[in-house]
Amino acid sequence: MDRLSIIIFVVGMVVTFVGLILLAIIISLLGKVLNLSSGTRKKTSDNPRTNDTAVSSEEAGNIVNAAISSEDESELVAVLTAAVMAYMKQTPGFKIRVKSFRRIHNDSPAWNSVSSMSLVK
Amino acid sequence: MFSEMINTVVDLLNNSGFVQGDWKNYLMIAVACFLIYLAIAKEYEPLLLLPISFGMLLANIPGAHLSSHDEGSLIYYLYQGVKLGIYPPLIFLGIGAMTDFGPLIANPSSLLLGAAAQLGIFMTYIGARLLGFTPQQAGSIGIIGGADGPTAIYTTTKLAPELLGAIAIAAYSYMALVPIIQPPIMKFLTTKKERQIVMKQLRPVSKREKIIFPIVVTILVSLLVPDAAPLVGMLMLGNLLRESGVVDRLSKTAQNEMINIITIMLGVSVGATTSADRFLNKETIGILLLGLVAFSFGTAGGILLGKLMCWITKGKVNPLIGSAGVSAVPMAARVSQKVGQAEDPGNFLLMHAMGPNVAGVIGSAIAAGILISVLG
Repeated sequence: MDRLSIIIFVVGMVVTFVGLILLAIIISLLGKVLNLSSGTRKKTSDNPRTNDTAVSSEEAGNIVNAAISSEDESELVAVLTAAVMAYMKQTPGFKIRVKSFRRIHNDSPAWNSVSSMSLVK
Repeated sequence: MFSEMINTVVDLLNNSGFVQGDWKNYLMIAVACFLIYLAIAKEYEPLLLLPISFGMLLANIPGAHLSSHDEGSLIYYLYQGVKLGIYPPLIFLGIGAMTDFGPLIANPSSLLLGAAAQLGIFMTYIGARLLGFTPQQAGSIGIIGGADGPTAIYTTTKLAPELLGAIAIAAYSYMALVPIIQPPIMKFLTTKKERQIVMKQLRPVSKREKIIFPIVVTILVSLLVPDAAPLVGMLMLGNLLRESGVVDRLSKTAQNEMINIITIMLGVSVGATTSADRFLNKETIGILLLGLVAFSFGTAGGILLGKLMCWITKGKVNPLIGSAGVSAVPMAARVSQKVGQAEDPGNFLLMHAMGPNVAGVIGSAIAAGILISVLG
């Protein structure tokens, strides 16, 4: 094997790694700085975050529209609440409170999920 | 008058392809028809394989003089966009406008997997040199392991344009075969327990991060490897058009009309470089074999670093996402998802694999820049 091949192999892998490691470090720092500044702004705002939100079915449409473009969890809670309210609107006086939400581990077979999705559609 | 008519018919017959062609032309036409069949019936990368194989068909019709090297023909002029390195960066502009780098920004360590998967490029370089290819040809063959068509074409036009047809066909064929090539290697290098690892949900990425990302990547990568700037710069420009949200029209044009037009011109003219006299030789067989080696080593490199990351993080990283680092967006990420789901139907690795997958595009562009810089 000639020397150029070994040089290209070593230099190529090292430079590729160095480039992408530098990029990874910069992106991590950037993410931390930006999230830190947005976190500080959130704390100083007058709108405190709530984990539980109750809404009437009439407000559901407005909240869903408002929350689509937002990443705030409290708005996601509102959307979930609104969805349940919209579903249960035929029951007068029905009220619910969403306290928390979390992703559950889905262990049903793939064909089962596909079937459920087609029913939802 | 009758004899004149006979002479005209004889002249016409003598000028027809049936008389001018030899067995090599007909063999190439048969290969082109087979590739057209694969593109249509099997849907193997049809967007590029269909125009490439039709270009191959046109270039091998005897007497039509439609190869990319026949000066004055339509395809000769279309080919100038390939020869001058114009089409591949423009394709990257469209790819950038279609790509969401969110999963990569949310998990920057996946960039390392995108780097490890470039192992295939440099290992294949060594293999090609051992088989007697020149350094420039070996660099072009190695880049097949980047699993990125435009990058392979761009690098080959700069280093070894005489191999363009064979390398483009090998690159796109193997990209289409990723679901067949990768799973055995992935299963061989990982344990059942590792394949069942469920990864933590990715954090949401803010719009500001997505806007700053392409600017940072362009500056850093272009300063580090200036020869990668045309590819990375266009990729990131496309992404900035998408993420900025202020030039919706340009973004839509880049990801639809523009990339479609360029794809047709690129595909036909690259396919038309495969005239029988340039394609039917033992070098082509070597390139096809080495391309397979390149894909296999790239997959193994990503998986092995994934295993290392799994060990360092005490089981938080599923090594299967490493194989997506070879690029081939989004096919390789889908393969990670499929192999993971085969072990645990409730495991969704797709978004985690998209990080290394798009990192692989940047990684292969850097590797291409290094090869062009050293060997060009």
